[in-house]
Amino acid sequence: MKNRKKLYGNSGALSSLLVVGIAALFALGSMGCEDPLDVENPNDLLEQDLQNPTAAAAIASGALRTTSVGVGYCLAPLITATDEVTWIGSRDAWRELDFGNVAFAGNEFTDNAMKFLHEGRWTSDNAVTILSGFKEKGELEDDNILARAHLLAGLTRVYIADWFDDWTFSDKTEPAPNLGKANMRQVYEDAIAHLTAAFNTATDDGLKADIISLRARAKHAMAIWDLLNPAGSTPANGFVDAGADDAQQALALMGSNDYRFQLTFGSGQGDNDFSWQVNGRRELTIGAIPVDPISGSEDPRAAAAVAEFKDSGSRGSTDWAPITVTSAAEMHLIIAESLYAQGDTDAARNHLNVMRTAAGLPEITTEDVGDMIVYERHANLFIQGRRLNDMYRFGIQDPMWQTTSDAYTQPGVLLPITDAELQSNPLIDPNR
Amino acid sequence: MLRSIRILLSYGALVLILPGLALAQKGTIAGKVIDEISGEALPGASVLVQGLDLGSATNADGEYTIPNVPAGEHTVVARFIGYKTKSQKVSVSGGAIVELNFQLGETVLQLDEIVVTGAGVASAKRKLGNTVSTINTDKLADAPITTVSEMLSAREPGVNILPSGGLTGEGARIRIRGSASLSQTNEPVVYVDGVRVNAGAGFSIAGGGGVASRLDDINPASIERIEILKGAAAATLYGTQASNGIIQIFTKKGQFSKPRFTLEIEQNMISYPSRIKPNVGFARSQEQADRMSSVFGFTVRPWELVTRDFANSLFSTGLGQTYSLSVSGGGTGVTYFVSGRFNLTDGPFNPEPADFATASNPAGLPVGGANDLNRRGQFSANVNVTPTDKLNFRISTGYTNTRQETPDNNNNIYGVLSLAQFGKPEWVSENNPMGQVAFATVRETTYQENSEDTEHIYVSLASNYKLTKELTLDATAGLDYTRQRAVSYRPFRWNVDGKTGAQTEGSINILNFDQKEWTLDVKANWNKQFMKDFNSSFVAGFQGFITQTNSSAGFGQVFPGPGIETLSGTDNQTATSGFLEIINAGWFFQEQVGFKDYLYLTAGIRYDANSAFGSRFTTQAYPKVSISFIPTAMSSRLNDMGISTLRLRAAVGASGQQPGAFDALTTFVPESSPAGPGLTPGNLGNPDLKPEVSTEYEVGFEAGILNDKLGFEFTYWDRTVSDALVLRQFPISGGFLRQQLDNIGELVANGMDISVRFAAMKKENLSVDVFATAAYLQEKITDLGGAPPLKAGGSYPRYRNWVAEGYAPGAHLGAKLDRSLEYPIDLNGDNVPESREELLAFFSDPRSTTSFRPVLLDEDGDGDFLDNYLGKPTPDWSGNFGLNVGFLKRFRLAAVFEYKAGDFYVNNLTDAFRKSHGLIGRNTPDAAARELVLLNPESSAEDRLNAANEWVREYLALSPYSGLNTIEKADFVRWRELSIAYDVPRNLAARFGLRNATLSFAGRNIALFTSYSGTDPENNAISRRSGGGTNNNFLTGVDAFGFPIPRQFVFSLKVGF
Repeated sequence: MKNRKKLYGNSGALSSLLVVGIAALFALGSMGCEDPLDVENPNDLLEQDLQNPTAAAAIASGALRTTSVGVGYCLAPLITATDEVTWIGSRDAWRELDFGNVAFAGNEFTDNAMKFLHEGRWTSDNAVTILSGFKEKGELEDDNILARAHLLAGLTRVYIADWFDDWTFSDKTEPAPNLGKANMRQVYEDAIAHLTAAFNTATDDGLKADIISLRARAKHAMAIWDLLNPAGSTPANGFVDAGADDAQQALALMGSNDYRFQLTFGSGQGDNDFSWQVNGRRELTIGAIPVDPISGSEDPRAAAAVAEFKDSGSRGSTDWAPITVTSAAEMHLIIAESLYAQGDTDAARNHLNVMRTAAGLPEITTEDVGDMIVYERHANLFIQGRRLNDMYRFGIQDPMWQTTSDAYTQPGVLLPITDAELQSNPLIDPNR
Repeated sequence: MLRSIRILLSYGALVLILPGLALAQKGTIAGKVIDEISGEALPGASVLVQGLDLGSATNADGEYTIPNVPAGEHTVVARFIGYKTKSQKVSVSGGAIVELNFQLGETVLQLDEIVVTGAGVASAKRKLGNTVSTINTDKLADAPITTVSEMLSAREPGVNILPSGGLTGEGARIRIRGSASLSQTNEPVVYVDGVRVNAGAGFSIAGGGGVASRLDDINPASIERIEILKGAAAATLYGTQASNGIIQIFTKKGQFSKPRFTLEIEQNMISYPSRIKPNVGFARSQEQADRMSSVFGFTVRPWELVTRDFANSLFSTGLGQTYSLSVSGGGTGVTYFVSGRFNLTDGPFNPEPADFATASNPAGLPVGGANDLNRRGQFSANVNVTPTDKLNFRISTGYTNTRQETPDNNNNIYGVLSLAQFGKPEWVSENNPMGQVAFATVRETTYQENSEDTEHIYVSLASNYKLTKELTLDATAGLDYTRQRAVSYRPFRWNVDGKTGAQTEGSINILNFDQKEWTLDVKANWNKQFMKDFNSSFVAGFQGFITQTNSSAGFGQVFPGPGIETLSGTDNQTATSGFLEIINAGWFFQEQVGFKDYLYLTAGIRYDANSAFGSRFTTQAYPKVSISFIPTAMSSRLNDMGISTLRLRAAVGASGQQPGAFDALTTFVPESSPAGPGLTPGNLGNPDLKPEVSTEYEVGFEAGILNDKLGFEFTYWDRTVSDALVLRQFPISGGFLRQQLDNIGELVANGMDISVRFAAMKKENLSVDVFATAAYLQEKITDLGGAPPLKAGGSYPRYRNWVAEGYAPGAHLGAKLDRSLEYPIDLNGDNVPESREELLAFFSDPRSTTSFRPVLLDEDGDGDFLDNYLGKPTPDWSGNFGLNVGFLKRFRLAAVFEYKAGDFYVNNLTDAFRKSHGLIGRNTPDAAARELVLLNPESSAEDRLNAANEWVREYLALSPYSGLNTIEKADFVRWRELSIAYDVPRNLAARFGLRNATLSFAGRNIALFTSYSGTDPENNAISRRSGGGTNNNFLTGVDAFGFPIPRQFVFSLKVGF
């Protein structure tokens, strides 16, 4: 195996010194450095880095992304419970929603979706806090950034209150108790407060149009909430008079009847899960496009919304259909409904006819203005996630709803606080 | 004898020509080593002169020569695997040859085997209080082994190699003594020649399965032996991350001889056993029946079952070939071993146009390029230089280049085999001949191509210097470098049948990953004999590791047209990149005191520091103590009682897992938005984060009777992991969705490793030895620290593995039927069974399978019907048994069986879907038949009631009854290996100029004995992964539309020249 030849003289001693030397160098080197165990992390930012004013725009943009993704996720289970979308795939939990079982806290899709809306809510509130701090110190370079953060804080609250029966507002590791079903109105009020702050801070007209139109929608939705809570029965009169003033102001700022405030998605900019479920995975499908009762053919406005939703060619992906938050059409609807609720049927009819004529549809001539308001909302707000509350307040039932389901037996019931939150938050009281 | 003299003369000649040597003071020792009973020569035995670094190995005739031995008295030790070591004294005079022969006695115990334990100092096993297992590759020469994973499979009790599936190139998960961490990786750390290597996994780009193991990059032909340390008691001196065990691989170093070449050629035939059930369906209308008739070419009538075999039609026989050439040898002061190996395997997955034929189109339709292929070239070299008798240098290196191609698979809605299994005969049409209902047609999925190219190289430099007779210095430095690149590609308009809607304009995903691991290991070892009977061995050392990984990925979709396959050719692209660095440093000290040769006491401690520890934490200390006592070496009284060898041992030690690199920090992640780049919540952070501590004790014995022909090894071990790192979900409403690591848990486990070996017969023409092992494992999460239980797969309800307090980690929890009822059927949703009359009235009309519900149990009464215990995916008992037979002088037969039994349950998701799912399932013969009865207007109410009763008892599954009729007992015995080898007679081989030649036939996974009805009880939805996490660790025992483990037959020819 080995042969003993003294060819290399004292190399042995030298080698031993070498070995010891390397070890010593390493040890010395490691002691000499600041902290040899300090490693770089160029992947992420630490919390303290967000206190740098140059991060302002990114903080607000992060809120936009998380909020958009959260809304896109929660839209899917909510809309499946309505008559606008049906399940055709392989994941059975969607079927439960189709059947009207909205309030099941263990539904895997509701459970997964609400996480993203929570993330959007916290990120928006965090953006408001940090950016307000910058503004106070005079470090905020553009007030519109703060306005956008307030807008998003308001937007998440509008969707939360529209879609969920109960919600919690915790902060990082600090849990908070749930608001309780009876107290969800507070969420609309907070939304309106944020939107007011946003409107007062914004200097850009387009942004102001978005803000005030959303405030109109929030006030209108809050009035619907009053009608439908506590849940359990169809209201005698489903129409509300709310938000008309803001709607008028919004129309003035919008300047065009085609104006829309949308949450958009794109390559690397966040995906719309509802878009993926319908266009990509083909788990869900959009139901029949509403037929105009007067013309007898498919409503062009709803058809256009569906076409835009399904159009993947130019954008190249099935995941990026936009979500319309508010539109000029919705402002008109709020005004028309307000007039109708006040008893001014003719003014309401005229207002609706302005929209219909612009879309090339025959005018309404009948007295069934109320029914036409219901129809116009269905057609103009198609697949925007607004249908469920309208179905509840107007007593419309999806033929797919089982007679034992939540939606059938308790009109007004919305998505619950789900298992993931129930298990991780010790302060939740399901009986509140 | 003549030959020996010729050798001696040639050495003598060599000695004469070398200058400067004082020849007159050196002599030679020569002799023969034989088996003391049979007289058979023992080739390859090592003979060493104690205290000097002089020795030799016996040749094929059992003869050895040790030249240049200084004159004087010496002790010579002869050692051979499977035999007891013997030493003899000899007197050497200058210029003379002294003859010294050895007769060694066989033993099935290996107490004298030298191992390099956690202290890195060579030590005989007898001195260690903890178990060290060794696998010697020369005993596995005939076995059908292509990778290191197969080398470890079914050998050691407590070392579980979990294949996860049967795709070509798929690597296996490794678990030693169960799981020691709830959140960090549970894979053992792997060293090759003292250097830490990447033993992680390839990319998972094809749906979960088929992921390569980096352990399989190592050239099996270059491995001499593998040492396995199983637990904290043994692994203490490896510190943080060693609580899952350590695998140390040592490569061949060559021997002092002329160059010896070995060439091996293997041809491998691979096929999938037919375990996948055929597709059965029935037409519900004449129109549907007519469509089926026109596609199949025979008449189909409504309400009649039709059977097709879509899945198995995609398979044919796969072929593999391996060529391996190695050369080893050595001269004065140098030995070397060089090896090259090439393997090309094209697996049994082979879709062809004819698979998609219809009656009007018998030629079928074109298919895409999806393939299962593995191509691997390996090179390794090991050079050992001993320039003086005090100094030794070694450089060893290995390089591997692998290409692997994998079809889309497993729980993946675009998996080729997945969709084939869900084909429904009633849904076929001209462009959908396998009847897919959703997602894509099988033919479309064959257009998805996934490939991975990997280069992996390690270099290890080691030196060993004997400062004095008692003090030795050791240093090892090395680098392991891996570079992986994976491409996942969907061509433009791959929706050739118009079915799929996903990325129809094509997409491409390119992932890159490279990892460097530096190792530096420095030790000083001081051996001293004192007070005549006591010997002491003291080791002190320092180890440092730096791991750096770089990853980058690009994803693009929408090609402008066909034929373009680059990322820049796509219309929209996203890119990501990441960087990670971990530094780990540790100091250790160990003292071993031996009294005579029968009592040894060892104590050691290690201090570890790591860059991943939280800012408020500095170093962690890991102590160890062990004792080994050999009564049979102390007195011969036990020998008189028939016990030839007995050793008692005990050890206790601690080790631990560190948290991930940045788990202690609160972070924000850059993510883009339509308004520009944004920052979103990342990690919650925890500045108190520290490593978890795994404390283990083990006691055991080795006993040999019948003169060591029958040997028993037994170990009982007990482990507690405290400050266990738990992935704690803080309130979702707090805005941070990621779970945060917190040291709040406790995990306990205990078990036994039992091994029996019997050298039953040893005659000239027949030798038989049989062996059996069993490992018992019991684990429980005793405390989750108030964190909510975690489920593998998150909110995806189909996986039922839970990390929950009071259960084994990964236990299946789910829905359970009340089988005590005659008719556990509920019609109105109150979970109370209806009466027989009510049921008959209900079933007097045709009913769908969703019109009634099962009556479920809530065993713990907490209102949750989905948390009943349904079994666990890790068996109580696992092990192997087999035999080695030598017969007719030149033949050898070996067989190894592996088994798993005892509360062993697999989530048979494949059949749950196929039995129960309304849209894509109900296509197994039995399920289809029941559904037929329920829907057929001709059935009677009684028939329908019986069908419904059978339905809830056996077929109803999936959400919202997740776990029902899905979790199945999976105890099995598998015939893992068989080999029959024939050694060509030496003179016949010599006529061809060969030293030796062996022909062999071997088989792998030859047969499976089990009552499990799914595809394979060893399947899993995901295969090997790098890193920890709830899914990587505990998503296990889930059979989800995967490929069964294939049967292989290998023919090989091995020649030496």
